[in-house]
Amino acid sequence: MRKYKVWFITLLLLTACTPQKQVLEDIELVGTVGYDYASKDLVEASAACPIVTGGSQQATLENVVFSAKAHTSKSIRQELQAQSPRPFGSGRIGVILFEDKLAQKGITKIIDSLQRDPSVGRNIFLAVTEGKTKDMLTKKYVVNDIVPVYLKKLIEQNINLTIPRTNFHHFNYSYYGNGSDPFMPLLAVSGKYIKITGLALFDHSKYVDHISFDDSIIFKFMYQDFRQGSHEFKMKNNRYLTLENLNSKVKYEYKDILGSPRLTMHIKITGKVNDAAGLSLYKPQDITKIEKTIKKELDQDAERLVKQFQEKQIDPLGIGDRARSKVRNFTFKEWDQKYPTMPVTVSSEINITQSGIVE
Amino acid sequence: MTLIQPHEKSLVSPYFAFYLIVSMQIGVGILGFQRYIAKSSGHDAWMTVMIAGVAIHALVWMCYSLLNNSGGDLVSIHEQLFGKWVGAVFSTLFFLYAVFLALTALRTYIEVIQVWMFPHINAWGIGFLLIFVAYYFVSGGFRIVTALSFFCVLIGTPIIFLKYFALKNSHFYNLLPLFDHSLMDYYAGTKAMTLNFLGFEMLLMYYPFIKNPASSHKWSQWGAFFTLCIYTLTALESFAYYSQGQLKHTIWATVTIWKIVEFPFIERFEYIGISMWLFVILPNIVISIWVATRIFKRVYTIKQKYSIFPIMLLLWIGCFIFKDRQFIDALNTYVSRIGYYLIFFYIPLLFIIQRIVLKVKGTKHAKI
Repeated sequence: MRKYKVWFITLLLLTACTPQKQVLEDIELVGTVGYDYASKDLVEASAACPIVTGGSQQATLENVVFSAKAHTSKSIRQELQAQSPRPFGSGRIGVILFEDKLAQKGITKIIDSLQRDPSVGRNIFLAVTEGKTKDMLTKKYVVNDIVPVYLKKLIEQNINLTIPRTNFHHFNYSYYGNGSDPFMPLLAVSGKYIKITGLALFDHSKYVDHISFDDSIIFKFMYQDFRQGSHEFKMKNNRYLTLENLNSKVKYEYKDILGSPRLTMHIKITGKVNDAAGLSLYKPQDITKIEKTIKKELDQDAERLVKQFQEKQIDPLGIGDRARSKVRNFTFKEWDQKYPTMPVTVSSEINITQSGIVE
Repeated sequence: MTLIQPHEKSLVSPYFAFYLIVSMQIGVGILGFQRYIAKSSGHDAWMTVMIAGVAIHALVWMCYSLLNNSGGDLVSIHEQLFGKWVGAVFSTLFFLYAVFLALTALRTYIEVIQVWMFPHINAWGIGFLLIFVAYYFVSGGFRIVTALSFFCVLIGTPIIFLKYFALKNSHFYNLLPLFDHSLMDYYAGTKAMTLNFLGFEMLLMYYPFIKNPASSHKWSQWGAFFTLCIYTLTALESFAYYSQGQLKHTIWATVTIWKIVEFPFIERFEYIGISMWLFVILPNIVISIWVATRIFKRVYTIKQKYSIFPIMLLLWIGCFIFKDRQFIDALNTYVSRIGYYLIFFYIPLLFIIQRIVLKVKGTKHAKI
C-alpha cells in the first residue's frame, strides 16, 4: 500500500507541469490574416475570425475582423489580443493576404515569422490584394459564405482550373530555393464579389510584376501538367473559340546549359472545343486549321510572358531550377547572368479530340 | 569464464530480432536527418543513405560473427579478448554509450514536443513521465522489451504512408542529375547518416536472449534492410519536396512534411504524427536502458532491478542539463560521432582481434 501512496503523491505533484489547455470554444480561430502597409516600419494586420452568433436555435457564422498596427508580427498578436475576448489560435488560418503596397516593399519579416510558427500549416494560400486587405475582409459580399471561407474556396477551385498550383509550401520552395521565384494569386474587390485578377510575381520577397487572369492559364500550361481549365483564342475574322483543356503536358528541352543556354518548351494539349460560334468543325482540315491557329497564338502568348519575366529578371516558372537538374557542375551564379538574355522558344502541339455533342 | 546463460523462460524467438533491430534503429534521427546529409552532398544525399545502409549490413554480419564465435555477449567478448579488468573498462564505456543513446532519444523527442506542441512544458516534467514509462517496460524483463518493440514497429510503420500527401507537391526532377558530387562529399554524407542507423549494435548485448541466436542472423539483416528502405524513401521524398535552400532552413524536415497532410477531420496532422512518434521513440529508450542495466549485471553483478534507478536518475538529470537547441544539437552531434567510431572502427577492430586470437589458439569456431 505504501508503494502506491508514493506514486499517487508523485502524480499529484506532477499536475503542475501539464501544458495550457486549448479548448475549441475558448479560442478565437483565425480564418484569414491580412497585412497592410501602415507607415515606413509599421504593419497593420487584420484577422478575420468566424464567430458563431444567434444561439443554438439559429446559429449563423459571422465574420469578425480585428485589426492592429505594430512593428513585428508577434507584437501585432499582442495588439490584436487586446481587442479580443478569447486568445487567438492560428492553427486554422486558410488564407494569408498581403496588400500590394506592402508586398512591393518586401514581406521577408512576415514570412519569417509565419514560417517559424509551428501551428501555421503549409497547405494554405498566400495572395496579394489590390488595395487594403482590411477593406476586403470587412466588406459584405453577396456570396453566402463568410469571407475567410469564401476566399479559401475561391482560390482553391481556381487552382484546379486556371491558376497554377500554389500554396505556402510552394512559396517557401521558391523563396528559399535557387532558380525560381515565388508567385501568388492577385485578388481585388469587384463590386459585390472578390475576383482573382491575375498572378502577382515576386522577386524573392518583393512583389515586382503581375500577369493578367487570361495569361495565368498560359502560365499554367508552361508551369505544370494538368487536366482542367479553358482558354479563349482569337480566330480569323474576329471570331473566338474556347478550348477546354482535357490534358496538358509540358517538357523543357535545354541546350548547352553551361555555355550559351537555349530553351524550347514543348506543350502538348489535348482538348475539346466548347464554344466555336460559326466555325465549322466537322471536316478534318478545318480542325487542323483551328489547331494551327491556336498553336500559333499560344506560342506567341507564352513567349511574350517568358520575355516579360526575363526583362524583370524573375523566374516564376523555375526555369533555372529545372536547368539545374539537367546538367552536372551547374552554378546559379553563372546562370543568373545568362538567364535574362537566353533565347526561349515555345512549341506547342494542340490536339482537338472532341467538339461537343452536336456537329 | 563466466557465461551467464539466461533462463529458458526469458528467451525470445529468432524472428523478433527483426523488430528489435528496426525499433532501435528508427528513432528521433528520421525526423530531421535530411538537412544534415544534404549539407555535404546536396540532392545526391539519398545515395549516402543507401551507402551507409549497406555498410550497416556488413557490420551486422561482423557482430554475428563475433557473437557466434564467442558464444556470449559483448561483455564476454571483451573478457575473452582483453582479460577481466581491461574488458570491464571497455564494457563500462559501452554502458555509458547506451545511457547517452537513451538520453539523446529522450531529450530530442522532448524538444520536438516543446517546439511543436507545448512550448511551456517543462523538460524535466515530461522527462520524468517518459522515464517512468520506460521503467515499467525495462522492469518487465527482456521479453516485455521485445514485445514493446514488436508493437511499436507495427504502430509506427503506417506513418510512412503519409508521404503520399507530399507527392503532388513534389518536383522529382530535384533528384537529378545523379552523381553531381565528389567522393569526399559522399563520405561526409555517409558519416552524417550514421546517427540514424545507430542502435543495431545493442544486438551485442541481447544476443544471448534469442533462442538459437545464430539463426536470427537473417532476421537481423532483414531488419537492417527494412530500416534502410524507410530511410531511403524518406530521403527521396524529402529531396523531391523541398528545394535545397528550403531544406537548409528546415530543422525537422519529416515533421514539416506532415504539415501538408490534409484530412477533412483534422487540420494540423503533425500533432497526431508527433504523438504517434512516442511509439517509435519508446523502444529506443527502453532497449538502451535495458542494455545498460544488463552490462551492469554482467560486469559488476548488480541486479538489473537495482541498477535501473541510478540510470533513470542520470537520464532525468540529463533533461535538466540539456536545455536549449544548441545543447541538444551538440548532444546529437557527439553521440553520433562516438557511435560512428564505435561501429566503424571498434567493431571491425574487435572482429580482427578475435580472428587473430582464434588463429593463434588454433581452435577455429570452438568456444574459447
